[in-house]
Amino acid sequence: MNKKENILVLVGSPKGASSTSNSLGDYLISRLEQSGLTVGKEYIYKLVRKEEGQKKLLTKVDEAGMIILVFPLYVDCLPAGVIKALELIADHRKLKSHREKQGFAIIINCGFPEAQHNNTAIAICKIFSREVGFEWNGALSLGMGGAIGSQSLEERGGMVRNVIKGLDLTAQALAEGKHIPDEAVELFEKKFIPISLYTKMGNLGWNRQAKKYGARKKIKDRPYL
Amino acid sequence: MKALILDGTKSNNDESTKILDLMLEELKKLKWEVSTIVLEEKNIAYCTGCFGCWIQTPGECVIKDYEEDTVRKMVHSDLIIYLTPIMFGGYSSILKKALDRQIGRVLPYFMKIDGEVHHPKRYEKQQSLLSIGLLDKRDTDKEEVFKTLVARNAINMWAPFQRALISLNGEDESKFSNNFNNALLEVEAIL
Repeated sequence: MNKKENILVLVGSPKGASSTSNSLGDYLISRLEQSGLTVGKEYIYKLVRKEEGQKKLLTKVDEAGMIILVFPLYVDCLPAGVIKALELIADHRKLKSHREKQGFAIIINCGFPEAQHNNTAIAICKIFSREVGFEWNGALSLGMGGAIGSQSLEERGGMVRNVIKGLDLTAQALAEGKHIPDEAVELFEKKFIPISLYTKMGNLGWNRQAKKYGARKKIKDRPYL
Repeated sequence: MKALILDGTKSNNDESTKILDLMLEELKKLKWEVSTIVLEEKNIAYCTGCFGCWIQTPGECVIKDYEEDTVRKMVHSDLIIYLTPIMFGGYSSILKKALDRQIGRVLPYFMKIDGEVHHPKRYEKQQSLLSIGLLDKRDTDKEEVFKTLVARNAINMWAPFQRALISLNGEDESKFSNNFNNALLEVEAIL
């Protein structure tokens, strides 16, 4: 496997900079840059809506030695905008020949406590990688993504120490042109807090947020009946 | 018996038009009342991930476009049918745009189902799910992932019955029609 010096991080959350995906991406970028790599970042939802943005996306992908896609799980798979980006890349690559094999890795997070919800999305990305002729560099899969939010991992502190360790190992491996190591995958999948505590806090959190909008008593409404 | 077809294919595709016609024929034979939404023709924005459909206007997306009609029709159906080209084992972005915006059909809370955390249903009645995936040629990886995705969607959206059918380009039409008809009969059996 060749070392890839020019890396492109694609953030696939429609929430852009205010997302868990962006927090994970930013931490990884800082570590890759410390290894002397050039890393660029783009927000997919800013690019896929219009033709000009789509062209920019394809140019950026063409120029990159490695693409790292960071995104949230939406309804058991990739968000629509991310699928659109993959469709565009696949169509574009049918028309071009590519001498150097580009690397492709993903980091996915979901709001469910169990990372296993992400498995189907990972399988889809792996097939995409095969289909467009990228070199698959692996996947990091995170549950309890809602506990990170848009805060930086450093601000989140000890609770996310395994996530940080996993990203450190990943950055080191990718910088050396290697596959994401198993140890990083295992650290990422470790739960920050017990599932029962996460779901209890989550349920209280939904009530609190609905109250903010004056919708606490309507939270179980059935508007289309 | 009401069925809603969410057509997530691109226009001017002979294969998807043929499959859609075959589906409509079988549904008509079994006296289903059918509504078809050609998603590519509708103004449906991307989900912004704001969770407004859970905490701001519960059950309704805060973006007002054709998705509102789509979700209303979903809620009033007995069966939802996805029609999509299989993209890397998953759905097309056209179909997924509509699916990302329908999470108001479940509640935000967490609950365990068979040892795994999911969301409780919002409506008492839930819809069975048939998903028709179009493929140019046999690809067992894509087919397996597609079937898994449909099964996972069925768990999360509380579908009482689910089936994923794969249609290969140029495949015998009667084979598809038979499989589709059998799936419809299985849906009917639990209504």
